[in-house]
Parts: sequence; C-alpha cells; structure tokens
Amino acid sequence: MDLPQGLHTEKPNQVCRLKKSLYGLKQASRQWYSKLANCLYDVGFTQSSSDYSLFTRKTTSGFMALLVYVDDIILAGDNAKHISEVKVFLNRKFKIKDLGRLSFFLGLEVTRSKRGIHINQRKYALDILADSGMLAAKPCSTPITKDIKFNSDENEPIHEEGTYRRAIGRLLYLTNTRPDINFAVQFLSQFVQSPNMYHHQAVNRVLRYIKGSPTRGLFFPSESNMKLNAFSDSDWASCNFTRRSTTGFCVYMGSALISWKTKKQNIVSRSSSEAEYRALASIACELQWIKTLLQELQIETSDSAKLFCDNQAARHIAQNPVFHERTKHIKIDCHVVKERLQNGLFHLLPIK
Amino acid sequence: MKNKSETRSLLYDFVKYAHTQFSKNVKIIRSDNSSEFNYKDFYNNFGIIHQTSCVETPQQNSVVERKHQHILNVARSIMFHLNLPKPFCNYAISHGNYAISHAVFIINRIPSAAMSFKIPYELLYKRKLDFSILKVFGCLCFASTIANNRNKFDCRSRKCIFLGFKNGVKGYVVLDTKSREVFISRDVIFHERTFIQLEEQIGQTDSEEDMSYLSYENAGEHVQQQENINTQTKEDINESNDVRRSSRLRKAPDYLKDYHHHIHNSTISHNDTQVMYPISSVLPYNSLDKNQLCLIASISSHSEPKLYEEAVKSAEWRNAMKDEIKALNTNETWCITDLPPGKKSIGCKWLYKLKFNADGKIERHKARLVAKGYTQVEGVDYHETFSPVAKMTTIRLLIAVAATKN
Repeated sequence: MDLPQGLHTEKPNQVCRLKKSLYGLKQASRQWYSKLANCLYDVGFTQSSSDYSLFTRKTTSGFMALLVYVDDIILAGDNAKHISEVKVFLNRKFKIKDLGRLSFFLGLEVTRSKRGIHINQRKYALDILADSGMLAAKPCSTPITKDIKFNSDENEPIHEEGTYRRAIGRLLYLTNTRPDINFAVQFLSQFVQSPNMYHHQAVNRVLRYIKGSPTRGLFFPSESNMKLNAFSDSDWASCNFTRRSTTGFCVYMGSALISWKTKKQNIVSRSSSEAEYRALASIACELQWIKTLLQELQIETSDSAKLFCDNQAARHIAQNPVFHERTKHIKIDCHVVKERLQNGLFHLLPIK
Repeated sequence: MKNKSETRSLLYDFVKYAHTQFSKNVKIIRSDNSSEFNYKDFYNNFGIIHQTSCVETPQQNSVVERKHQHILNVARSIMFHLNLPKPFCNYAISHGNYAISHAVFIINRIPSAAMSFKIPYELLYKRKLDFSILKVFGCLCFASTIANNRNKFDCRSRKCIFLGFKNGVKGYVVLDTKSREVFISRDVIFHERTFIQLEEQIGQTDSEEDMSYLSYENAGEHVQQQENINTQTKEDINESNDVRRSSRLRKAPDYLKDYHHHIHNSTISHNDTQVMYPISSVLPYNSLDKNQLCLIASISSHSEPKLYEEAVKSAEWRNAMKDEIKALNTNETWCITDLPPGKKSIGCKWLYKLKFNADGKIERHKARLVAKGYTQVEGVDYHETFSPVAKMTTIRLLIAVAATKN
C-alpha cells in the first residue's frame, strides 16, 4: 500500500506491506467479522440463524441480544450487570466506545420517552434535500401521483442518470423509517436504467414530500403486546409494460410496525385472486422468518399470527384443498401459504 | 458650496483628495465656459489640461450634464416621496440639499448599467457593501438624548426625521421635528414605513450651517477626470466622505460560542425570511427534551474535513491522525519495504469522522486510514469478502421489543 499522507520515510518510493487487514480493503469486513464472531462465541453467544448479525446469549440470570452492523453494535438485555460485563469484555478486546443509550445508529435517530421509542432519519433526509438543492422547495402532501405518464418510449432519456440513480439509492435507505414513501421509491426504482424527464420530476415530487415532513418516522409504543398482525394486499396488472402485479404487505407487532414491503411480482397473474395469493405467499415467508427471530430473542409467541387479506377467493384457495381450473397453473412455491396455514403459523382473516 | 467663488478652493481640495486617497492624479478637467473654472495658473501648477466645450454647446460636456440630471431626478423623487406640504417649502429647500447628497449616496450604491451592473462603491473601494445601513430618506426615527444632559424624567429620545449620513462620522444626520435642529446621532431607532410632518414651530432656525458637508458633490459635478479612474470616479469620490463602516467580521459574542442559538440555521442558509417555504417550518424541535436537542444540534452543525489538506490545518485532526498511525504501528499492521518489481501498490486515504456522545458533546475527532480497496483484483488480492450485516427489520424488531419490555 502507498504510504499514508503525512508519513515520511528516508528513502523514496517505499510502500507499506500489510500484515493485517485495514479499513477499505475488500476483505476487511470479512476479517473483522470473523474476529468479532469468534470473540463472541468465546463468551457464550450464539449466532442467530435467521439473522447472522444477531448474537444471543441465554443464561439462567438473564437474556442478552447483540446486533452487529459491521463495527456498530447494539446491545440489549434484561440484566444491566451482564450488559456492562459484556461491554467491559469487548472493550478489553477491541477498545470499543460506549455511546450510552441508543440514540444515533446508522443514521437512525432514536428518541425515547415514557410512551415509547421513536426513530427517524431527520439528518439523512435533510442531507438528501440539501444535496439535491430542494431545501427551499414547496412541500407537497403526497409522494407520488396516480396519473403520471411513464411511457418510456415517448420521452428522451435524460442525461443525468447518475443524479437519478443516486437519489433513488438514498431514498431507498430512507425507506428504513419511512414506509410512506416505500411505494413511490419502489416504483421509481424500476426506471433507473434509463430515466426520462417524467421520472425525474416524480423523484423531485418525492423529495418535496419529504421536505414537508423530514422528521417523520416510526413509533414503537411501550404499551403494546407481542402479537403479530399482518396485512397483505396486491393490485392486479398495474405495470403497464409487463402487466405484472404489485405485492404489498406490512407486519405489526402489537401496534408497532416492524416490517413492510412493496414489490412487483415476478410472474404475470391471470386473475386478481392469483395476485393476492402470491402476496400471501411472500408474507407467509416473512412471518415465518419473524417468528424464528422472535423465538431467538426469547419471546413466546405461542398463539398464531393474524394475517388479514381482503380477497375472499385468495383466502379460499389457501384454506381449502381444492384444485380448480383457474388455479392449476399456480406454481407450487405459492402453496407455501397452504402449508404454513395448516402448521398454524397464522390465521387467515378477512379485513372488515 | 454657497457661492461660485468657492469653486477654486473646492477644486483644489478635490485634486488633493484624489491624490491622497487613491494616489491618482487628475489629468484633465472638462467644463463649460463659465468663468468660475477659468484658473489657468491653478491648472498649470498641477499640470492639468483644461478642456472646455464650445459656446452654448452643453452636448460636449455630456457626461457631467447627464449625471447632473440623474442626481436631480433621484433627489426629486426622494422629495416627492416625503410629500411635504406647501407651508414648509422653505424647509423643502433645505431638505433638498440633504436629498441631493442622499441621492448621490444611493446612486453610488446601486448597480450601474454603464459598469455592467457592478456597484460603483464596490469598484472604487474594492470591498463589499453593507446594505444594512441604508435607511429610507425622511422617515420617522427616534434619536437617543444625551445621557449627560438629561435627568431622570426627561425624554429618552427625540422624534426626528432621517436626513442621511455625514462624512467621516459614524452616525445618522437627523432633523428634530420640534426644535428643527439638525444633529448627528449614533443611537437611532428607525421606523422606515412612517413619514411625519414637521410640527408647527415658533422661531425658525436655519439649517444652513450643516450644508458644508455637501461641498464635494457640488464640486465633483463639474469635474471630469479621464483615464485615471474612468468616468465613475466623479460620483465615487463622495463616497469616502460617508461613514466608514467597520469591515470586521460580525459574529456572536464570545460567551455564546458554546451554545447553538438557532438550531435550524446550522443546516440551512440564513436568509429564510426570503424563502417561501423555509425548512425550519417543518422541523418541530421545541417538543424535544434538552439532551436530545443537544445531540441534534451538534450532529447537524459540526462538519468534517474531506481532504487531508483541510484536516492537517487543525491541531485536533493532526493529533487524531497521529493516534491512528500509532495504533496501526502498535498492532503491527504493516512494515515498510520496497515495492516488489512488477507490482502495483494500493492507494490509501484519510477519512475524518466526528464522534458524538449521547448528550451531543464531541467525544473525539477520529481519523481513519483506509485503503482504496476498489483497486484490488479478485483472486489476486483477495478471495472471500462476504460479511453479514444486520437487516433493518431486525433492528426495528429489536427496538420494538426493547420498547415493549422497558
């Protein structure tokens, strides 16, 4: 490696031969991770199988969870003594810096009160606005309009694809606390390959929407139960080019929103029930994953989750083992819904 | 200037003045054929060429004549704006002198089309203008009374009319509405939207005594310099007469430097008043508690250097880099050798990061040396790179569980 700026040696043209890994090397993150993981194994942590960055430890006197994001670590536990023990241990090994109660993690700003915890990405949102020069823009109340002309053939592609892609990328990270712009960002991100003027205007509209509410985020109330409620929906053939449908779902734990998704399905559905059924399949997988995660966090979820779906036909397909003319082409992978339903992972309920 | 006979002394003063202030010599003076400009010995003494226009041909003296028109136009509109009633027309005349000097003052501070929309004042003095000193001519203002001359129950201020600035004094020329006294005060509060009439008064005073400071523009109107300071010089010369404002950088007092007074100002530009939809209107900070506010203020307001060249200037970052090198040395991260032939070295750069405590204090300046890994080639420099990162859903779930369990 080149000598760092500011470091001088007697002879010219000398370089540093790396014996250990350094920030920025391709293998740096892996090296660090394996070192950290080995250390954590030594003090009794086990790696979660549903999220490899989650480490848990259960002892008779308490439970502790440790979440790793490269070199940022969140510690949670029910025994303050154990937490400080682990901190001391990590400090001895790596010289960590204890930042106290969780307040700023990966750009998420965490605020607490007696009523619960609120997370938002105010700084990040403002940075996006500042970088795109939209700080003084007029706010608007919706992130996207329904009637946008997106016929890519008619319009000349713009030349600032880089700006468009960068904006989409940053907005994608903003969706971590902003489910309200999730659909708009998902929709616009389909055009990153050759955006045209209309796409660009649509992105600006999203930015103006953010301008109106940069501090909006998620609230996790403290008075809430641990029951999972999930809502699934789908539209039908909304994509003008491919006629594919869009899945949408969200998962609540008690009254706290923890997971959501908007995604264009990868197969064309012949009926709206079929599209809804596919949406059910993807939420079934998500529920399964969240359930294992909760088990690893030592949270008892004996009763099944409630899954709400507004399409009667889709519910029937899932609940009754009928083989019908119109459903025979639905791929086997979608019948994961049937299987999970029979296992009692969730109850399928109508939305009233 | 009261009499034309003063022309000579004023002309002399001006030539000296241009020499002292701008080290420029007047080379040519152009005027009409009036006798007050006929000072042969004076011109010869300074080596000035005196050009005159033909008889009854003001077109040949157009620069001065046009400027004259401009100044009077502005001065007239200033006077009309005051809307003085007829009985006060003798005041109007004495006001008029102030109006003319104020007109010149304003003309020198607005962009001129002849100079490709630059401001004459800034061109001459090569420094930025402070527009905040500009006030509406003839507006209502209240000048503080002098502390020595008043007792406990005297008025604290006098009701006045603003009449401009006086050369060489940092203050405003104001006319007392009651006593008709013209005086200069520094402590004046302006009401720029309000215009009042003078109050009825017995015994009139003559405000002529203050006209002496008009001297330069009257002289200047008939003088044209060529080549040295171009045409704009003439009106700019008056400029040096106005109050010199301190060019010191204005900043908040020292005792406030440890605080953030305007939290939203730290992230956005200061002139929100002109912005229709200021970002501050959508950022509700007042509901936050103090600790959280501190954190937000400091993560928004401190900035980190991007380049080594920027960082090396400050002692904190230099120390941070020293510490990082020391840490790398103690870990024996590298040894310094010669580059093997045929190989390329990976670049590296410094990154600078501010670390904050939960209460918003800067915990430390962190410098980090990173290798430019993007120049590495798979299979040659590295094999496996995968390392897991937390899913955002997991983070949210953990926070949600924590919220419930607390």
